[in-house]
Amino acid sequence: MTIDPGEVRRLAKLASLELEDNEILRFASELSSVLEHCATVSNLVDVATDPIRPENGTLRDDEVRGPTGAIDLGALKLVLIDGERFFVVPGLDVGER
Amino acid sequence: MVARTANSDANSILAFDEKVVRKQFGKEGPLGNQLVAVKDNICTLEYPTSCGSRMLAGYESPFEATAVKKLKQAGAVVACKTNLDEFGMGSSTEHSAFGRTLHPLDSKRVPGGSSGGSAAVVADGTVKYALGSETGGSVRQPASFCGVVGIKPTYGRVSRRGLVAFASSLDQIGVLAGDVSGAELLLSSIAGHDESDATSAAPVPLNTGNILPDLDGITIGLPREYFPETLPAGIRAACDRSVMLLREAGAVVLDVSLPSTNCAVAAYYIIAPAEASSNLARFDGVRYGNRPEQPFSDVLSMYRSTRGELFGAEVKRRIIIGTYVLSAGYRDAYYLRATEARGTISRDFARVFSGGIDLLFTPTTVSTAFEAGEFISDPLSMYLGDAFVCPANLAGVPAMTVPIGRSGGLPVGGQFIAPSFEEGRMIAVARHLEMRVDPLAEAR
Repeated sequence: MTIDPGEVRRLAKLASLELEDNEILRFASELSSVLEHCATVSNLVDVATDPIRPENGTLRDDEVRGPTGAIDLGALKLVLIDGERFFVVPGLDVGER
Repeated sequence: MVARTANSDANSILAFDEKVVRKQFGKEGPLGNQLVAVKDNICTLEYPTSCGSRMLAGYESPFEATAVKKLKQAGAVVACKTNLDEFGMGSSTEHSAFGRTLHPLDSKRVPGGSSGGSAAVVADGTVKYALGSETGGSVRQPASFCGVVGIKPTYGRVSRRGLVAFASSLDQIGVLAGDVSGAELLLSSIAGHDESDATSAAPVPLNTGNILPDLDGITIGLPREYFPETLPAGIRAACDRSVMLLREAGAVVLDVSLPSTNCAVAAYYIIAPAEASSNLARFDGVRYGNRPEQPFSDVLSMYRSTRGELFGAEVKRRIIIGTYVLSAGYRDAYYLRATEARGTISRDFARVFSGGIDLLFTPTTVSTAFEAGEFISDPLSMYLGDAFVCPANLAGVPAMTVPIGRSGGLPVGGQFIAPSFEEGRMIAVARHLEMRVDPLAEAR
């Protein structure tokens, strides 16, 4: 397992972390060995009796999805509830449940 | 407000104020007027809560942790805040933004971590009691290195409210004291259900104060995975002597196996960083703590600069690991596998305990206190040092360490692991061992 500096840069951006160049080089080398060790966790797994992943799993597939649709602010309805003003917003599309 | 006390040179205390301490005296209760040191990732009203980080240096919490509130209700005096690895991430207290804490017996060595400051102030006699916190052994490992007693309770036994989150499914407040009875008193003072903590367990009696006349009827398991060939001879000898003493007291001691132990460190160093990368997202220079003073071009660059500048290297390393194992394409291979492994580790413990074993006995650590700097540039080796302590955190079961001798002049700890909510029996058996073992005797 090799983590290159470009991967560390990508991860740092995802994590909102500004890293110095020397940190990026150091982390790339350190993370390679740490993640290689972490990958040994696969040696153990006993999926048949796994309590957190039921047969009809509730976790969606591990795939990249686009952002949820932007709300059309012009379409928002203003309502009064107990004298207070609220917007009615559409529900979020979270896929099949 | 930096401590200026007898042990200032040890750098084990981050905040102390004599006036603050004096104001608290005059209280009654089981801990009446007893000084208690509090790890600096547990919120107090008396002192700031820095988490050993420049990010939170000087941060004053608007509320105190439930455990601290309970301590004060029991009459305790919050004496000081103790040094730690930044946000609890580390095993040596070398990763504090405020400098490393020295081992109380050998200043070239580390006191362990991340609750190294708490272990050191109990070991050097500054206080009798201290609170620490555990995510993967951070009470037991430093307690073992410094020769004091440390207890990690069952997950949910002690409220986490006011403990700054590192990895919420693993974090627990624990206790350190010079002897088993002291640790028991401290634990019984802070345990209990808390409506403010969604992970707090329903009330379960702690059953402390048990004095067993002998250990007849107690069956203790020795998991073979905790006694590898690489275990240092001095630690093995101290454990052998303890096993002999437990047998002499009437306990039946059997060999058992916990095969999943060998994957515990890998699982831990996936799950804990994954949770940390999420929990520490709140430290962005806006909602909590500090931010650099220079002007920023936009809000994203402010977030990145603040986090890049004010987090230390180990915190950044773990955030990067956590981000990696949760990112698209790697989540199944790492995070999901680790949570599955965690289930297997829990089942291993359950199988042993349901098979007639009351408690497990193991060495607490794979070595005695190591030299400062020995692993600072080799994080994997540092992480592997948690092999005997992190399984109990993954399974959520209680565990404790008691001093069982010396090796090369340095303390050796013996660890008891019990089924969930069986702290009372674990403490009673540990007390038996404490009465029989000479913690200062060199193990040969």
